[in-house]
Amino acid sequence: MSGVPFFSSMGWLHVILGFIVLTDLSLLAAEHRRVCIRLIALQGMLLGALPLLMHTGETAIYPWVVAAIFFGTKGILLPWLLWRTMKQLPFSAMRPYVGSTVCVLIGLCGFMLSLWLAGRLGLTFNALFSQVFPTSFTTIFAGLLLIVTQRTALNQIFGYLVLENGIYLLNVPMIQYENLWLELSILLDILVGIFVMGIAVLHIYRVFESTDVDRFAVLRD
Amino acid sequence: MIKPYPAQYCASIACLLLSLLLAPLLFGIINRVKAKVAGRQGRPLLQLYFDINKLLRKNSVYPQTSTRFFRIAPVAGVAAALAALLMLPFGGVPAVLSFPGDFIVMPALLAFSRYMLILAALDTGSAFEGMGAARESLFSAMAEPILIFCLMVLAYASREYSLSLILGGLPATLWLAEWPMYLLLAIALFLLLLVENSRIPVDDPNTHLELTMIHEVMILDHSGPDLALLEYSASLKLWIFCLIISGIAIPQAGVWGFAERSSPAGSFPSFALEAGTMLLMILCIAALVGCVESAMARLRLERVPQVLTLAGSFACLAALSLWR
Repeated sequence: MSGVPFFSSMGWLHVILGFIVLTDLSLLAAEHRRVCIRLIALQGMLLGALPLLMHTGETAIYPWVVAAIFFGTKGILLPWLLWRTMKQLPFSAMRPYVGSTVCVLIGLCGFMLSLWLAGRLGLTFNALFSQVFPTSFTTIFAGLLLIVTQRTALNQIFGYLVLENGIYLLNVPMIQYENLWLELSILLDILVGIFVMGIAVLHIYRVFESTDVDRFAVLRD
Repeated sequence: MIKPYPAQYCASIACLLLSLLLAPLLFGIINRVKAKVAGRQGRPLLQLYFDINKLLRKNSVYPQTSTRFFRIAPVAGVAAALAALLMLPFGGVPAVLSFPGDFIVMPALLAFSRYMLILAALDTGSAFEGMGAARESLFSAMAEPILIFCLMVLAYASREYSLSLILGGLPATLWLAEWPMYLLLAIALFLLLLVENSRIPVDDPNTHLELTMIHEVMILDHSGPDLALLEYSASLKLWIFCLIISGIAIPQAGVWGFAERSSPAGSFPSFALEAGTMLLMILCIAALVGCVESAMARLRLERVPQVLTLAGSFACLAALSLWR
């Protein structure tokens, strides 16, 4: 992260990657749903800007189109869907299985592990890939942690989305070869997934008057 | 060890005197910012100077149960803070006292000052002050390792073991090369400043509600010159934290610092420029504390460890940013 001049493309890339790690840790520490959704929106916007910094190909319009798609979908559309779902649910405090302090410490350990892994794996085929790998792995780790530590279905969707952000980050260096179609198709699946999950969570709430996954385990026909 | 030139030595002494003189002003700035944000006129900027002057002209009253610890604590607090200040550079101006390993001694002196205050609070025999002492020792036990860790990261980054070389006049080239670390450490140290100096959102210096007090409850039985010394040592401690943060948050011209320590002493304008920049930064940090106090409410006691976790996380991220 250090040793790079501030006013350079790589310097800005490191700033954004640093902010993404901070949003990961903030998501692990967040105790309100609205804060989580805002952080996910911020993370989505940061991720959406990455193709502009990484593109080295010949087509000038390509990175702008890709950035606009990801910025709009990850930074605006998906958070808006989550916000709409949250508004229709009653207010309830996030009660994770593991406290936020412990979650942040585990997240830091995950970041440390990802830095160690990046050094051990010797990712030399793409210089950008080795730059984004620690942040990407940390984001995937934070997403998984959110999924397993959260008690309610909506909060688990946050984890699912953060997990996908990490996978997207692994794929962003492919922008150099103007080859992001796989990620675009995944994004479409995620978009539909979040849409369906939002509706499903609402139906679950209307039928069972709760979205607590602990209560799902004791449901009977 | 740094061997300052005579002119540098004079500059160090001048900066030390400046620190001793201006330290109480920080509380005035914080209170003035809070008052302005709340739409009030507020107390005078020099209120703490007036308070200290008034207290010094009074007599001290001691509880019947107290022993010599109660009398020694205020003097020890000022002495420890003064000794810590001797080791801190003022921007590019080297510290008056500098030796390898002083970055460990400085936090130890602050811890000693707090230890004496806790002893004095317990010495009164009051359960109320004992409660404050317990809280203070609990939070400081979590905050001090983070402070030492921050200084260790700085020492590792600069490959130096003296605060004058670690903090003194960071050249712009070094700062720009390692800016994520310096920025993250500055945030961590700012959070530690709030905890160590009992500021909102950790503690409210204006409250006297027994359920929420931490620092103020420990000095309730002090009066007269003793209370004046305690107030002054608290302002010195705040100044010390502001000085550390200023040292790492802004790159210096490096005229008097280690960047060009092999060169002859700088001119008076360069000294004035460096000292002026640092002074401005210190006052800005005090104003920032005032803004934070205006914007936030005091946290519940059980949430204070979360602030320390946040500070520790920023310090860890700063250390990880050095990962090659």
